[in-house]
Amino acid sequence: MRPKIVLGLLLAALLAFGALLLLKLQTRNKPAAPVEVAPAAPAAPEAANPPPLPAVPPPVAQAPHVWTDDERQAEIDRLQDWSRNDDPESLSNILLDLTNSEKDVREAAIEAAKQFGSTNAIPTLKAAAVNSTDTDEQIELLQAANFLALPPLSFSPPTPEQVEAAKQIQAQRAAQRQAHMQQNQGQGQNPPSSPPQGSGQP
Amino acid sequence: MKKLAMFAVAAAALVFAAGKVEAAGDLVLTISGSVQYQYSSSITVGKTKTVSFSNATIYNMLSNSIANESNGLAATLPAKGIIKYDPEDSDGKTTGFFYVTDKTNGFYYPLSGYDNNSAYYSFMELDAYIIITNGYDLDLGFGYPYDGSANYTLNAAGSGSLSGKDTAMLFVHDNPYVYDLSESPNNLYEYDNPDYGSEYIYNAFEIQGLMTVSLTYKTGSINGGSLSLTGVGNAMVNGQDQASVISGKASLK
Repeated sequence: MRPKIVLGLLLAALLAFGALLLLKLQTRNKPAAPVEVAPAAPAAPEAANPPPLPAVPPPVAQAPHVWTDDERQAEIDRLQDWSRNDDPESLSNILLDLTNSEKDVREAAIEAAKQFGSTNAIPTLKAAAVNSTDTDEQIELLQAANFLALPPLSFSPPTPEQVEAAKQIQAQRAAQRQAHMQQNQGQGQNPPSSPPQGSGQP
Repeated sequence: MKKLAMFAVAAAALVFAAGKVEAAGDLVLTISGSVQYQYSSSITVGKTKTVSFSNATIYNMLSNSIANESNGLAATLPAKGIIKYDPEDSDGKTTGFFYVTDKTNGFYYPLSGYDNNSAYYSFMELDAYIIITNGYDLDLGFGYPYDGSANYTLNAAGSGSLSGKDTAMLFVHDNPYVYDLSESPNNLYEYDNPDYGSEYIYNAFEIQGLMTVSLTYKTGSINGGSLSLTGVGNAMVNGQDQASVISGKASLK
């Protein structure tokens, strides 16, 4: 190819990249809206002679959107709501706010991801930790990922036998402690000033 | 007698249905952490397991327990309820109490108070005693043996902030008649309740540690801010008392 054509193609590609970057920045600074996860479009076959790209205006540096206190609080409230849901859209919204321009919102998003309790959030949390420049935030993101990697505690309702067994164990412990205390007193040792484990008076 | 019982049930229902006028300073609980406990079976002996807990875990535990309570405490909690904390009002015994509500604030269940027999109950307590160098001390729950300190920055109208640090304990459990472990926080195992005698506990979590206090005031009342407690503590998991909260965080904001 002739150098002029190559140069033209490179310039067009550079302009397209700039436009994409601008679009991404604008999206990051918007209050989070539900994100639809669309199926990936099939890759277009490479054309032998690609048509010339439309002219894209050069990227203009825009000041990031400054959130008001109300906007910030509203987004944090939304994050709390999403954290109580159990649907992919809510998780997607939470994960989007991990890269929000507001630190308070990002912190709330980390907590919301923990409360949502899906292991699907782990890769995004780790990626956000890599991209963050704030050491404390990196630690929080990685701690959240580790938290989600743990199995959640589940409760099994006690059977009557378990209730009885637990009562017996607790009674045995109480008797042991009582005997231990009496032994100490018999040997002239003062009992501890605060109630020891198991002495139990409120 | 039957009439009396019906009256008691109706009175309890009224208490829960009457609701609470939510104060501007009521704070939403967010809790998370990990618990390590021993488990044994015919195959595994003395193995430990680490699991996580969150708002949903605690809420699930409370829902199951409250659904099966007696003495007028039984209720069905909403599926997506919210646990809030009122740091200024009293449950009749202590200042500062937790309650369950929902997003529309149309549901109210106090997590501590008095049951139908006028016996005190508590599923959840935050114990702290904050010495305020330039004002009245903040005595939350049953207090706590290790006092912290904080300072007001208020104007003449009583608006401003309170900030400081304090050691505190959060205790949440499934038996409402086991409460006030502030003086003996390691005692989860048996308990003599003044009203109902010996009580046993099946699931419980403690977080003891440092609490950051950052509250805002408007005309003398709390209207926002946060209490943030990080620490460790004892735990009971499914009746297994060889358990510990190895990392816990409770945030009220």
